[in-house]
Amino acid sequence: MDTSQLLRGVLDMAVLAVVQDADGYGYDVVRRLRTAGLDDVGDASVYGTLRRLYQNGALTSYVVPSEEGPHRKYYAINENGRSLLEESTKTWRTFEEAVGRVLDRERQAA
Amino acid sequence: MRTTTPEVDAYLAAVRDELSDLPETDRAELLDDLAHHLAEVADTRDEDELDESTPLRVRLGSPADYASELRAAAGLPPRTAGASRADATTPPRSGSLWASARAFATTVWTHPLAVSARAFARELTPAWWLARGFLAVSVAAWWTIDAYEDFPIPTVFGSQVFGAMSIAAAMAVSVWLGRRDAHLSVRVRALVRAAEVAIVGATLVLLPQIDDRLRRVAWISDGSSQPMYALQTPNGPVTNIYPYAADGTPLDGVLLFDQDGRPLRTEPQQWWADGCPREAIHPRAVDGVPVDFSYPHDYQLLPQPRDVRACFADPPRPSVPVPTAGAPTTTTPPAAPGTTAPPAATAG
Repeated sequence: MDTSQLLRGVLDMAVLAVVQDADGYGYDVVRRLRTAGLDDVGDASVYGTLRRLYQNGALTSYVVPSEEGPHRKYYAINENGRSLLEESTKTWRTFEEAVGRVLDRERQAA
Repeated sequence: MRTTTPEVDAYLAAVRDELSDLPETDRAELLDDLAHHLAEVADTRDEDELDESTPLRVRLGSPADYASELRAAAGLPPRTAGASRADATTPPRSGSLWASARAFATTVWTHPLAVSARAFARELTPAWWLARGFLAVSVAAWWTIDAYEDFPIPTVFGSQVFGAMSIAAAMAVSVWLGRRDAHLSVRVRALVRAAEVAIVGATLVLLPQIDDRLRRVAWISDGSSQPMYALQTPNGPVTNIYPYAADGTPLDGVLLFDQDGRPLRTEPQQWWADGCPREAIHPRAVDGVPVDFSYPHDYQLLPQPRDVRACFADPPRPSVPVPTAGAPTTTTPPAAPGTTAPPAATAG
């Protein structure tokens, strides 16, 4: 099954969850998502999602100077982001359960 | 972390080019720290064994794809069709007939008039549900038309009341089916569509025949065979005779004979302006034989299920100009009430 379509619907939630654990910069977030098992997550998608969540006021950002090279832009979750994440998590759990029930019923019927 | 490399710069320039149609502020926002981000990507050894020498195009895809993914994720509109594209290839334009036919169909289908027509048709859907319910019952009744009263409310099992009830029930079922259409199984929906085609087809076939069928029914229900009019004039058959006295007085019960002394008989009138069937009544001789050459003929309404109030109480005597005779008396108008001639029923 092509997971990129599924990912599109839940990327906001996944990015918020990752940033809630610890503030992160673009590539850092990509790497953490991939480490968690979301192998198909696209670099541009994560980068664009971070920008959008920041624009919509779910994330704050701050710049950390780097010793080796140019500074990095870190993103941190704020109150808005936290309630958005809570809301999305609830919706996701309900959805996941419903799909699970449907699949179980299909398996029993088969 | 390294600073940007020529590869990163080239990739970034290509992405920037792909975003050229965005307002400058949006683009600057988006590209703000993308250079550093890309530098970091270029610098990093991936889990999937891609080393630093792997080009960015392999790691991230083409700049065009990267830019469109970025737009989608950032909630920005996709690249406008008219904008020039430096990197990506435009899809080849097919000049085939099929392609132009498809393009034409799309133009027609998406035309504002077509869109509003479809919206209007959707609003009319409930009316169609009622119409198909009505037609389902009516078409069956028209097929076996056997009474004057099959139109507009068909007679079902000899009763128009039952016909109206059947139509109401059919409409209710039709509306119920219509409202559930999206939830019906494919097979039931196919049945409904087939029934609709049958109903519309039967209506188109039967509707032009209704007048003929009603006429045929009228002849049959009259109990007479094909009428043969004994008296004809250039204006058509004679079905009644209204005699007047020379002074203009309308006469009743006048017996008429031809030059050979044979009674003059007319065929009874078949059609009336009010559509109500009637039967001629003749005065009887003493031996009980009806005198059917006594004029004018009287008619009485036949018992019928139709609302009798819609029928004329008594078909009026036609108003005629009676010529002034050279008689001493003055001419009275033809509509004067009362008759002077006694019924000649006992004659013959």
